[in-house]
Amino acid sequence: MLYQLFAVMAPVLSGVLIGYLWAKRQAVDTAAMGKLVINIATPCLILSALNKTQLDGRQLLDIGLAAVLVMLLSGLLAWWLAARLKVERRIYVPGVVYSNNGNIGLPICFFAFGDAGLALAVVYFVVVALSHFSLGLMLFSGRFQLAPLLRSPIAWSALIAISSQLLSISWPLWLESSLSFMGAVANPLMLVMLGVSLAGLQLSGLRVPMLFALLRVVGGSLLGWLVAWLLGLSGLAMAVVILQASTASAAINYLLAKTYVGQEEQMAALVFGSTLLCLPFIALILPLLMALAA
Amino acid sequence: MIADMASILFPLVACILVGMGWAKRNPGLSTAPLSQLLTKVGIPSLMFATLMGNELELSQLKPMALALLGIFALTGGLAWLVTKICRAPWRIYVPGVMFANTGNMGLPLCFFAFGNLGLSYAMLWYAMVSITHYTLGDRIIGSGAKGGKLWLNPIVWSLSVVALLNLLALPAPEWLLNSTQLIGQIVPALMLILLGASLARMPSKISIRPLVFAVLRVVGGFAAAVLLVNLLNIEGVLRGVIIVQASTASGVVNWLLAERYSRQPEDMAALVLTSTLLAFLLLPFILAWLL
Repeated sequence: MLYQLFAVMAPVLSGVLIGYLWAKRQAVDTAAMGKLVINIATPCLILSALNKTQLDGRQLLDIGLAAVLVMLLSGLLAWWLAARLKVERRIYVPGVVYSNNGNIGLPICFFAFGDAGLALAVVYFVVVALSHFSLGLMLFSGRFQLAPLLRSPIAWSALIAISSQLLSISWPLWLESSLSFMGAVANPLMLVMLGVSLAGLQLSGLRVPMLFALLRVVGGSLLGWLVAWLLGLSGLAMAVVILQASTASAAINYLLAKTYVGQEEQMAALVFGSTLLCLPFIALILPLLMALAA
Repeated sequence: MIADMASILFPLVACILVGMGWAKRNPGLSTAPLSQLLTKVGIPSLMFATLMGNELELSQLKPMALALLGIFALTGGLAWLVTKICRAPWRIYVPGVMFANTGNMGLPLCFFAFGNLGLSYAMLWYAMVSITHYTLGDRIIGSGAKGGKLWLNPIVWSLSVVALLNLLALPAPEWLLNSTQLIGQIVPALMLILLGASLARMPSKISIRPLVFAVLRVVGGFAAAVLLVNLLNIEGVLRGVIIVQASTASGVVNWLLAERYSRQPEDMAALVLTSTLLAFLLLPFILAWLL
């Protein structure tokens, strides 16, 4: 069990490790990489990932509502904690709210609950991603304005993805294959850049990010359970919501912090810390969730 | 048919154009870290993931190597003859014609045209070409310079691990396979974007001489490949991969090596550019004939 979970998470860890070791050996200029990921690859990835799924109305209501509530409640908790500790909330609020439901959540749900679990997990992932690249960008920029949003290719691609979901349009094959082809670059490059950034981090700066990593993973898990119970979900749906709510902070949070806020080292520590934390934590709760789903 | 062709070629052309536009818009941006990541980590990872993840027939290795030798000999010999006839410097045009762009251009093409199995054969082909390019090609262009060291080449490491696991009949551990797959994902698109970026930075001038050698590279390579796959009775996906790989443009590495050894890099750049254009004009027909 632990080994299979490790096999699922190894790609994330090794991407970060490559960047970390690289930056320890020599100075790495990630300017070109960052521009490529944020302006080209991620928008393509968003468009192609959302194009592959058409959401089902009933699942959207159950799982989607649960995802929205988990985001809302975890955001409020993070806001309160950031205010108490007097740390930058533009880093820690989105860092806690937006979890890694694609890279980590989808393969684990598939591995634990099969195709039926994957279908539900995808709904959770899509709802979080849509909020991430619209409202989430405002959390990062700290202003509730539309104008700066419209300059970002990521927001544009989310807008197009939302409208094509609503109108149930799917791309022609040549466009779809181009989008997924260019989008494939985004995740690995993002992880490597995150590793590069971790190499510059002081150990003393780790305490606060670790606290928020705990909030993301353990707090998220409890909130997932609470929300699923409040909404009257049970069985597989409940298990999927809890699992998706217990995943690490999304890797792209790091890049968004670098673009919109600065202080990206703290976000890198939050992302990496929560990734390390969620591996044993999910291994711990997975037997319970599998019993719940069965 | 046209829709198939569009879904194969459009992503490639789009990536190259993105790379060109990107380099033109940000002339100061250094792409060196990206190409370093690509060659040192991305390509060896993809090599490992595709070779371990697909059931390749190892009995095909020998005809592959023979076909490659034959194509090298035919295209190289022809190019040498033409350089003697029109008194062109052979140390530019012979390697420029022999060493095709089997990486940036060939890998994504074979992936889109022949799927994952095609990609893994194309990877093996690329490995053989690339190793020869950095040893023999380096020597030709650098006229007897020391040449790249074989054991420093990450492709060689990756191939050795694959060979070792194969010899011991061990399966690759799942975590390593997953990781190399994820990192390897950057290779196809990034290779094309960087190809576009280097094409945009090359000095461009149009003249007859590079066109002659570009025709030798693309059309000559195609003819040599068709001849050899028929002679060696190579069938199926491998046949398609060899023909496509042999019909690609002149490799960008030729230009990098010509720059490193100051061997008329402008002439090499003209050959690379002209043959890239020519290859993209002819490839739709070659693919239509193959598929």
